[in-house]
Amino acid sequence: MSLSGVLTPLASPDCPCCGRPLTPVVADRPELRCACGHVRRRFAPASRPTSAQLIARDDEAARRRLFSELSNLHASGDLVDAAASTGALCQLAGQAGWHPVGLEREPELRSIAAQRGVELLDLALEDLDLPPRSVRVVVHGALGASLDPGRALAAARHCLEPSGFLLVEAPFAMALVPRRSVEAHHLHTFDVAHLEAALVRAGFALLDAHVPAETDLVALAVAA
Amino acid sequence: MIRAACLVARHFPLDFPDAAAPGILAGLASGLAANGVAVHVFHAGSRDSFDTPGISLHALSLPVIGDREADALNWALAVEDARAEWDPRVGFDVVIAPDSDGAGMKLSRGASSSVVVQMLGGSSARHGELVARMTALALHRADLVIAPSPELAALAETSTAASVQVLAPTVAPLPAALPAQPDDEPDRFELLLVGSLLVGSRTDLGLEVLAGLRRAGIRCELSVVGSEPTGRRRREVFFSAMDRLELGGADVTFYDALSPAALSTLLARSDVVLAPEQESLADVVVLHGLQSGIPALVAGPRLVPSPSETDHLLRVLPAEPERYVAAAVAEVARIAASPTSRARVEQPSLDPRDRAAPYLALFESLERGARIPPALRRPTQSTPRLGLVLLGAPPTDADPAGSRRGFLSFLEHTEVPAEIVCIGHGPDLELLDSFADPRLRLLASTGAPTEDLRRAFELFEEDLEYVVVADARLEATAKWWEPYIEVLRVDPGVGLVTDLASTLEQDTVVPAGAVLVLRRSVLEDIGDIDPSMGWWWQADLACRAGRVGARLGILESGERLLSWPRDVAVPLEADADERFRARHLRGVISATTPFLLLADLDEALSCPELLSAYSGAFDANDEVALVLLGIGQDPQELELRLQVAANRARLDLEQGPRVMALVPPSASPREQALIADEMGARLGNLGTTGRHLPSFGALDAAALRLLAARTWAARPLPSEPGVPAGARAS
Repeated sequence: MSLSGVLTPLASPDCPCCGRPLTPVVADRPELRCACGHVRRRFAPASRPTSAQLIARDDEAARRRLFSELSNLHASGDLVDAAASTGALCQLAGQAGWHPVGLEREPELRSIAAQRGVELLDLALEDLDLPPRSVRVVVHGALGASLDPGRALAAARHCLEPSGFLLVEAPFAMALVPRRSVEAHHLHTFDVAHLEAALVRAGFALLDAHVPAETDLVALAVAA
Repeated sequence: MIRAACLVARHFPLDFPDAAAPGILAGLASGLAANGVAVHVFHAGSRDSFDTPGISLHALSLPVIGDREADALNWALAVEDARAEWDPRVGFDVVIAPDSDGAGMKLSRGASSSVVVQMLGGSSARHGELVARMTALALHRADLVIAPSPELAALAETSTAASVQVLAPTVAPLPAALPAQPDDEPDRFELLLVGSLLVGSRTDLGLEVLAGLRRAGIRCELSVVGSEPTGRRRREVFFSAMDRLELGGADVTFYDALSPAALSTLLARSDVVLAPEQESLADVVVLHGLQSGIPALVAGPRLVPSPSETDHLLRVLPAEPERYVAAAVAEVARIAASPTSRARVEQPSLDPRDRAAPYLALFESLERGARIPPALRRPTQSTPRLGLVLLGAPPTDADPAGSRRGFLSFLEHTEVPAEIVCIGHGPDLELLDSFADPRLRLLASTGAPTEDLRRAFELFEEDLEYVVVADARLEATAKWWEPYIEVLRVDPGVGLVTDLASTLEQDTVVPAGAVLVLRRSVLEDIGDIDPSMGWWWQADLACRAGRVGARLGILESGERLLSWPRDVAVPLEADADERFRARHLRGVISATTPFLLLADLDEALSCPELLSAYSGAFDANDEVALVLLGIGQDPQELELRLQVAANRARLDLEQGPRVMALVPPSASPREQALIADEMGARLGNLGTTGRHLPSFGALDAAALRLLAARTWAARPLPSEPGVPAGARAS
């Protein structure tokens, strides 16, 4: 049985790294591969990836780690958390003097965030109607889960003030250990080269990239 | 012979808190354990168990002080306190401490242990001057110093009069790497550098090498493993350097600290390890790389050399930065030009077990306190008298030492009169045989525990008070038997004691631990091990003991015995499971459940003395019945024969204790087993049914009556509901 018979093909936006169409390398392979080498899952997950509790457990640590990265910027101001999950980063950022706005599409995660006193908006970053150049920092902790990361990055660039920072985390294409349950269902994986290409294409310059936890790639970029 | 070792390793399994992989100490621990040594690790972490059989972790709690030097002093004191606590319990043959944190400064010799310092090569700049002085003191007090290189040995010799020996370091094997992912550019060279990103590090030399290779037209990438708290130096120094060297962000991947599994994957992807620093934490990665067959370009002279087996993979380059970079570029270019030089050859000879063998030889050569071998020791007290059965397990890949350490620990710490039966496998039995210990009886394992136990029980003399069955994968500590015997002494109603119990259906509590201690008298009341019970034998004994009123005692804490994760699965035994449930989880004992006695029909009719014993022990008012089993016998003929035999035995079949005959035309083994399940004992010694039941002869009327009385007493009172036929917990 072919994979296309049991799974739902996703819409196919262009490659976030080079802008060319993503095409299947081999028929019925579960991924699309661009000529530039970027790889994207071809099909939507057949079922819900995992329970909200599992996502919450995995994301909690990841968001705390991102907050640690954010703290190292020694900055403050308005902040958009584009994949706020259970609101851990928003909560910590608020306590540290930032003015965070958290976005999360998953109702159960918003509910968990509400229990800790963090209200999240049911919006994607692309749909957030913010004035241009109004935000100091955008954090995107789940770039790999976005169907069209190029559009998400462009939306981040749109709302960031000049020299504003973008902090992103995405599944590392060359993961060194088995992925966390959440990441295993992400659509995009990135290595440094392709993430840098996607950032540059959206109008950013890469400042830093590293692999803090063996399966995730974290990059810091500045609005060029 | 080295039986038990204490290893001080504060950051176990790492040598240093920021090390990238398990280091020399973890490798030594694994190697010693693989050779059958019981390894006890004192560390400052929170883990209390380790996944390598034979390694027991002891987490020492330390106050949080914040001052590095006071912290080091506290650690040294805590280590000696722990040694003083555990040495009398375990009986260490050797105590090993590293030179890196001054931990050995306060270590004292135990009754029979020596103190060894393992040099790791930590610099005083890294650990502070006080720690360096503490280390010097530890070296001064040591019986032996082991250095992984001649250079470190020369350093140590300035601080100690003890013997300083050079032994190649061993590193614990890394977990398996993730499967290789598709490589877009298989010809691209992957460089790996593990080091520090802190001020003063030479990690930037890796970037210089990468740039040099790029200029030489060699396609390559660099992975840098090393963290710093804020990421600032990575951004401001290394990314700036990459700009200056015209390297893109994608040319270098920075990894923070890696787990051993991740390091394994990264090594599998790498072609060359760069080691421009002379710090020890990078050396562990060099060793792991060499073990994986990867060339290493190290800045010399090295404090930690490669094992001789991997000399061909180690390239010692000049330490000066410019010369290191130039030499590394030339060396990588040479390797890249030769396809055969990229072929990986694993180094099987670097197995920790082999690598630890010379360490063991050195430890054994140390002059220790006069230790009397167990075989020559007299018991230190006259009671309790134990019959000890040690059930050994065969060696496995995960635990190549098998049950060696368990056997040796029980021999060492059983200081009461004992007969010890060791059921084991080839190498273990050969070793035990060499001891000429008069307490020992050795049995080769048949693989069937019930059969092995039955044979073992037959070897015991009559005058034993208690019978102990223990899993020889445990390590026994001093006076291990004491808490078990105490439970039995305090409560005469307890017939057997376990360290762990589980509850089955009908609230039936059965032993599930690694040690079971029984009164010898209870064994006599309940009979033999039943082979059909398989691994349910413990539970079966406990349930049968419950029927004669002997309750199961459960130890509050099993800490007298140290254990490690089981790696040998208990085989599924559907038959035994069904047999156990049929016998113990089906029926209910009420206030009127009779005591049933089984006899072979032919034997009973041909031996009137047996029937006389029955009629002498019981009368018509007793809730008892003698069941005469005659499979395939003629019922017509039986009646006449029975009457004749009863007359000769003066057994009144009408007015005396009940007698019933079972004469089915045939009975399968399962049907016979179901009959035996209802019985409390056998009268006579013939017949194949119920061979596990206690057997009584013609002269045992009084004993028979006593057993029946115990059984009746164990029944619930008439006002109480019936109870399951299983065991009762104390």
